[in-house]
Order: sequence, then structure tokens, then C-alpha cells
Amino acid sequence: MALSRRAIKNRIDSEDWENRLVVDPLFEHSWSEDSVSASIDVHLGNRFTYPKSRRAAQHDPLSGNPAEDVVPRELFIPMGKEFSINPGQFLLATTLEWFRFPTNLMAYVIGRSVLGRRSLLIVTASAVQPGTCNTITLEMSNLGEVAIKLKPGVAIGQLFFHDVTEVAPVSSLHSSFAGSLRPLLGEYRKSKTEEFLMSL
Amino acid sequence: MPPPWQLSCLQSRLRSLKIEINRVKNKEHPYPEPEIVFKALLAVVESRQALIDEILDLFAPDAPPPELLQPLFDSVVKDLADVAYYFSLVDRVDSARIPFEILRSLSWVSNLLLHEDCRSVVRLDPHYNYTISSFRHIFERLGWEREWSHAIPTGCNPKTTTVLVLGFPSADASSILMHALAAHELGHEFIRPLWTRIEAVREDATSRVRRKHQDALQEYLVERSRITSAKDPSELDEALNQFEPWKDSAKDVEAARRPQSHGDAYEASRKSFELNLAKVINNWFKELFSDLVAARLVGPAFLAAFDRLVVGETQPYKTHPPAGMRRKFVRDYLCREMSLIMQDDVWKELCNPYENYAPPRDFFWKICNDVCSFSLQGLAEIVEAVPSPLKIDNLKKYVSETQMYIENLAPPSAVHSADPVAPADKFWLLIFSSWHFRLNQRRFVTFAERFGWADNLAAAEEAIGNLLLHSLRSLELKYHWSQKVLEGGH
Repeated sequence: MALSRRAIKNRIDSEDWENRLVVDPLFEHSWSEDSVSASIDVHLGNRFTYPKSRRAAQHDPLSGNPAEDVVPRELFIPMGKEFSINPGQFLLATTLEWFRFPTNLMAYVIGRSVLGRRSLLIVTASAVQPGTCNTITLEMSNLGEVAIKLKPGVAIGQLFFHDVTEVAPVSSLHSSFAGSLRPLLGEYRKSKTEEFLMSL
Repeated sequence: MPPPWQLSCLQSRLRSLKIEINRVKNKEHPYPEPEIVFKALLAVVESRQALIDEILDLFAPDAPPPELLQPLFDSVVKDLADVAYYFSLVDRVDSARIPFEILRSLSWVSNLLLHEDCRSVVRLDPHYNYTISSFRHIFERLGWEREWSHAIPTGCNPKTTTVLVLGFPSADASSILMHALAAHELGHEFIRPLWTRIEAVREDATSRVRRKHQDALQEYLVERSRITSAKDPSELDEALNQFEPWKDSAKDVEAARRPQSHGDAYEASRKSFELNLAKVINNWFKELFSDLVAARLVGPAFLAAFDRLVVGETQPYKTHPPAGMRRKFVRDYLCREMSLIMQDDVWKELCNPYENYAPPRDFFWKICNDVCSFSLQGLAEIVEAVPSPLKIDNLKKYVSETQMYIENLAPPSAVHSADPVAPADKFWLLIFSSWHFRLNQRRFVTFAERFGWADNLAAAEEAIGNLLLHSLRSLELKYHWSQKVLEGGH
């Protein structure tokens, strides 16, 4: 069941760290808990990563060899400055907001329809796992035929929150992206199942 | 008079420098602040170019008189060298490794501290060092005020607008906790209007030290004059080196070379010594005062960051006191002025070893050391002019609340403190708080284990740095938002 605005606010105001959701920056008076909307907006951050063009015919993220993987290039765009995403272009971005999720809460990042209808895709892997503590990385792509102009700070997407039930006690909240501020590619770590299946 | 070929070289240099500055100026920079510096430097180059061209045109086809052209030529060559140097300080301010998130909030707190319109820019310094350059003051010192005025955006006051270029060590650009040392660099700018008072403290301390070491000083100067007056000029530098270990300026060497009697030799040696002493003490006072400014702003967190930059002990230099002396100086200040903070075990563990500083044995450095030690009281009174966020009543509570957030890997800027803390104070307090958390071994290791960094404490520290960086930017954004709300904009 998705949380209402009021329920989200209660999570933000909770004194108990087992339940507390932290969203920062959260601008005072910028959103109403009495709205019928069941999401909160996220805004575009300043750091971007885009794949550097290279001579290789393909990337191999499964190889574990950085030389065969996507070569990332970083960019910082300050508040107030415009930039464009060209047709077919892909880049990683982050939310302006840092989120700290308790272990009994998760979320989905969904694009805003006003931008989606203009061919801007902002996310492919949309789940924000319980215990997430970082800015959220967005996978942005322009599916249209003309460039789209954007600025950091634009309300780029929205988060729908869900309670997670029957949470087992966890000794470690390890995630590859915990504590990160920049859009990272991340290392592809094969699970035991994958290693087994890929070795057949 | 410069030969025609050299004139031609000068004109080529002017042209190529102009092209290069323009090229860098037109690059896509994350922030517009460096543009002021590029425009001002271009204005200098263009005005010198115009001057040379005008002179050559006026006297074409005859050569201009040498008494006119040579000094002009020399002056333009010097200006070119200065332009090239200062251009090199701002031509690489766009590396993605720079923590740009901090720039606007750094400008914001710099404005409040220095009462100027400061636009901060960070460059990656190839040396493992922090530096600061205030470009308005540089342009004023070089007599380029007009060019600076023309580069300032409309509506801004050229007499109070400056671009602060902070150098962060390239090898540690991402070590956000270390950038607490920016507080020391701001101290170098804060010191300007207070220098007369600081000089008075210096004079007083120097007199006291002279009285204390009167006999030893006399012997030292006699020995110095005896050794140096007996030397051939070619051996003079080496002779002086054993007294003050650097080469005297040519003027001093010249003065030391021509004594007519023992009395003259002694007097020349004494003057040379006094000159060197004044130079060194001035430099050391600037560093120590800036250390005190940093101590006022971030407390013992400054020493924690300093220990990362300067690992272990250093010898005295004419530009900087030995590291051990600086640590003890700041510790003594903190124990006196912030005794409650210094009772905390985390800071005690950091600072107690600093008490074991042994002053240098070499007589000259010992004198310098003593002058500085005698000055602590005087400098402490002057540095009261820096408003200290660590003096707030609810410090312990605020730090405790922020560290609860850090422990849960949440930005400490999200703290809703029941007792309000001024936004600019929060900037420095978050640095203080983050370091305190980092140095609390038990708490830090528990934090690292919780998030899967037990085998990689560097990653845990990096996460704290990211939280701090995010928080410093968030503070500034929320401050401006609250101002807009107050103005009725939202």
C-alpha cells in the first residue's frame, strides 16, 4: 500500500530512527501533507555522469574488467545553468535530495508525466531499497527527436513510498551506493546463482 | 633600448597570452566566478598591448627614444610575468574532482566573515598545500585597479567585490574533512585590517624576548659580525647561512660587505639580523593568527585536519613556523578559550601529545619561537573579533543531534533543532561535528561496521565527507529559501 502525504510526513517527523525517513533538503512550506497526491517530488541534482565514447564495439559489464566496461565522464552543472539532453543521449544524474530510508520503508522512483510526455525518461531501475542512504541515481534518456533543455533543481521525478513488512533484523546495511553523492556506475557483482547459471 | 627582435617577441607574447586567456575564458566553466578574473587579466594584457603599439606608432618610422622605451618595455615584461602567473592560478578551476558543491556556501560564509562580496573558486594545487588568493587585493597591489573595476559585473562594488581562489591539494581533493583547513586560509584574508594591532603585539613580544636573551643575543651578533666581516664576498652567503639559514637579500649582503671597523661590522650585522627576524616573525604571525582564526571557527577540528596535511614534525622555515609549535600554540589557545570543549575525551586524545613540543635549539629559531609564545595572549585578544560558533549555549546538544544523523548516514543539515542555530554558524559546526564523530574511534568503527565498511575505513570516512559536503550545500540552499519566504516570494 502506498503511503499518503500525511503518512510520509509522519515518517519524516518520527523520533524513532527505526521508522524515520530523512529527506534533505526539504524546503519548508514547499509541499502540503494534505494533498491527495501520494508522492513527493525529487529535484535534479548537479552531478552527471555520461559514458565516454570509445572505440570498443561493445561494453562488457560482466567481465569485472574496468577496461571493458563503460568509461564514465563526470560533469558538474551549477544551479541556474541550463543544459540539454540530445535525442538518444543517455546520462546518469542524481537527485538533489539525500534520502535515508529506514529498513521498513522502500520507494519507487517514477518520472513526472509532464516531462515523460515530452520523451524524457528518467529511470530504468526504479526501486529504492529499504535502508538506502544516499542521493538517488537517475538514468536519464531522451527518447524523442529534439533536444530537451533542463536545469538542476527542476522537479524531475517523484517518489512513491511503501511500507515493508516483517523486516528481519539486519546486522549490516551494506550497499554499493551507500553514502554516495555522485552518480556512480557501480561494480557488477555476480550472485552465486548467476555464477552458477553463467558457468553452465 | 630593447632590440627590435625583443620588441617583436614582446608583442607575440602579448598576443598569445590574450588568445590563451580568451580560450580558457570561453570554456564551459561550472561557475561564472572565474570570468571576472579572466576579464580583468585580459584588460591588463590589452592595455599593455595598446600602450606598446601606440608608442611604436607615434615614433614610426623612427625608433622611440631609448629613455622612454626601455623602462616601458621592462614594465610591460614584468606585467606579463605577473599576468601569466596569476592566470595559472585560475586556468584549471573546472576539474570534476573539485567539490563544487561547497563553493557557494563557502562564498556565503566568507562574505559574513570578511564583510566583502566574496566569490569563491577552488583550484587543485599540485603541491600538497592549501592556499588562498584574493584577486581584488592582488590587482590593487599591482596597480591594476582600473582593470579590476571594469571586469566587475554591473551593480557590484569593485572596492568590496573579490574572487577568492582557494587552492586545495590535488592529491586530496575528495577529502572533504580536510577542507576544514579552508578556515585557516580565510584567516589570511581576515588578518588584513588587523595587521597594525598584530604588529604592536609583535613589537612588544620582540622587546621582551630581546631583554630575556640579552646576553646570548649580544654574543650571537658579535660572532655573526666577526664571521661575516672576515669572509670574502663569495663566501658571505655560506657564512650567513650558519646563522640564518637562507640567503640574505643582495642589499644585506652588500651592507655586510663594507664595514670599516668592528663597530660598523657589528652594526651592519645587527641590522641584517633584525631585518631577517622581522621578516620571519611577520610570516610566522600570519600563519599563527590564521591558525587561531581557524580554531575560533572549527575548534580542535582544525588540528585534526592539520595533522592530515602535515604528518609529523617539520623544521622551521622562514615562511612557516614548525608544525609542532603551531599545534601547541593552537592547543594552548583552545585550552584557555574553549576549556569545556577541550575536556571532551576525543579532543584530549588528539591534543594532549602536542604539549610535548620541544622548541628548536638553533638560536635564531629559538628567538622566533619565543616571540611567538609571548604573543599568544595579545593575538588571542585580537582574534576575538572572529565570531565563534563554538561559543553557542546549545553546542553540546546541537553536536549530539547532528552526530545522530551522521550515525544513521543521514545529512546532519536535516537536524531540526528546537534551539535555533544561525545558518552560517551551522556551516562551521557541521565541520566540527563531523570531525568529532570521525575521531571517536568506537563510534566510527561501529558506523563503519553497520554499513559494511569494516574492512574499508577509508570508504566510511568518504561517506562522512559526502554527508558533510551535501549538508554544507543544503544549508546554503535552505538559507536562501528561507530568505525568499521571508520576502514573501513563496
